[in-house]
Amino acid sequence: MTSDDSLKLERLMNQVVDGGLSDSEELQLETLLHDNSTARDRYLRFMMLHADLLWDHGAAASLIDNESRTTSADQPRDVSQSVSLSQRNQPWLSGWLSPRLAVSMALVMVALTAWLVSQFVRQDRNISMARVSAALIITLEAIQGTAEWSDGPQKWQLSSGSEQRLSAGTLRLDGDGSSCQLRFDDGTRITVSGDAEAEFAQDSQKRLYLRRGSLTADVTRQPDGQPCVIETPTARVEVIGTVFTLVANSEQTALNVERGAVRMQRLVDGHEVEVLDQRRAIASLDATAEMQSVRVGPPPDSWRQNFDQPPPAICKGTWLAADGEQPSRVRGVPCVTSRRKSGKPIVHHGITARSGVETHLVTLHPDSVLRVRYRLTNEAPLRIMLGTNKPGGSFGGNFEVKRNSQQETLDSDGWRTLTVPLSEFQPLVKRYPSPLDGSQVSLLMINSHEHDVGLEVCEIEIRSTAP
Amino acid sequence: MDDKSQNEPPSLRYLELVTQSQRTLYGVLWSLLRNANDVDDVLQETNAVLWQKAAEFDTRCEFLPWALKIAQLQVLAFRKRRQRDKLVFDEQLLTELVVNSIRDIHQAESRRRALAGCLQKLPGDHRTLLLKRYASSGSVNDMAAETGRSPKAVSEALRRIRAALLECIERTLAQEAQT
Repeated sequence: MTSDDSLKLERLMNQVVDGGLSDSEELQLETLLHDNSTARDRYLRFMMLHADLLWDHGAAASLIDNESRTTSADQPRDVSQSVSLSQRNQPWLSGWLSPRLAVSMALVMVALTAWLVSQFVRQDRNISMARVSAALIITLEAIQGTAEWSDGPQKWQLSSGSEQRLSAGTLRLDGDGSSCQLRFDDGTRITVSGDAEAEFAQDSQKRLYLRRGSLTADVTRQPDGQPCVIETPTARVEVIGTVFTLVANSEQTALNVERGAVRMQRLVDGHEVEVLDQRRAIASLDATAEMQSVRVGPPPDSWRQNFDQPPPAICKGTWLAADGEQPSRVRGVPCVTSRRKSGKPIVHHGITARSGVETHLVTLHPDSVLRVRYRLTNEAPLRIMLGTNKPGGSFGGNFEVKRNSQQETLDSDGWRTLTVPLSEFQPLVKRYPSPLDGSQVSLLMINSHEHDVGLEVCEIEIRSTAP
Repeated sequence: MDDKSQNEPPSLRYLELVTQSQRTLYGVLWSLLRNANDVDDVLQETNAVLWQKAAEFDTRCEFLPWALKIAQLQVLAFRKRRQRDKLVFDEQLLTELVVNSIRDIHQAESRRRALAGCLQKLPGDHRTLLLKRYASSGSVNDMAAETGRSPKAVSEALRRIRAALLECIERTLAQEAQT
């Protein structure tokens, strides 16, 4: 966050609580908060301070005001007057409880406060101590794309090559094609992939928080009573020993269990479901949605996407409707695939198709072939990347192929057809040398390197050539 | 999940949790809504839902994240009702802020303890100005008229005091963590 932004944020926050913002200032504040997680943290701390001051001193003042009013009128304080004070200071009591019951409850709660505060204070201290622990808990095994690790105030770019030992911290991956594999000392392996953010900690048990992205965990048998705990914005799972994948965003979490059993809890209402081998469940923010474990078959052996209609949300690119001679198509858009050592993003231009949380795009077989109908404004090499999951759902590796556009014949209409057998794709992560028969495609990226060469795609197909 | 009747009164433990959560819910709702009346309204609606869902809460789970999620849903419903006002953050930002709040939820009590100490360390005139702002719920303009200062000068003074308090809180928490 620049010092200019920092000053601007402070000015806007103070205006919010002291005077209000104009429309343009509202927009400035929203933009700052959208763009920067540090700004969001500072905003939350500021607002919590403001709310704490209001809660402590605003409430006390209104109590004094009401008491003095009652006293000056020389009237005895009856129950209804007491309740009006409660309603002012504790809004939650009003509207749906009878006044007498509200007063009774308030008295009971006051009696319990001392015990509760002591419990919470002790709990907070324990957590704080766990957080400041700087023990090395996890080893970085492999990385593809760009990853940043932050450990409190320090953050740095992770680099591939030799294994690195890391203390508790936060992993951030940039770009859909990134992935990172880490190993705890007991052999538990965690693979995070896609545009993702995950926190790692370990005290008496492993604790992970997946804010967004995809996480595959191969968890070795954990000690009794000390399960590995993984939370997302919408769900919590506790694991003894199993292989599974979580895909999370701010609204929902999909759990796909490859081996073993995992109990998932929906945070919004505490509802739990046990998910067994080869089954899937989804937890969202909607407490009324049915949450159940379902068996999901593999995706089809063939997948074809044209762009006669605006593409579904799984596709990234600018849709262009058919116009006379040209078919409907999608034009490449800028996408960050990695970063230089300086932190500057490397921007490619291309299109992306990513599966939703509920199902993958297509099942791969040794005879599968990718076919793309495309055109370019300028000749340039193209990179095609497949992100895959194993047949059971866990991360299966990323694979790519590079093609010079001049390798394909230019048709009379200016379009080319790129055809690539699966066997030509090369692994990007050594641990996954080739896609397994039955692997599922979760991501397809087609892009040029750094420069925008006017890539447009009107059709993509992956299909098995077997009869 | 137990199939308890929603008419069953909540347990004493549940009431304790609801009570204990009020201040944190109030703070997070302030961050999301930024308006006292709206905060009060949505806090009441959140509490009504917490009451309705008492039978669904699993006491083995952490209460505050659960309550915050319910509060988030109430804010989203509120936002839908007030969409034209442009006074509420968009859904993505609301979600990000709730996620950050849940992540830092365990620090809330420590921050409040630190705030109490930091208030005592403020110079007397600063503390008086701050308490006048909050205790009387007075607007900056009212305070300016009362003290004979310009509204801008009062706003600037409040800004500096809040910045000092936030810095003091961070310093106190860092010292606690070291010990």
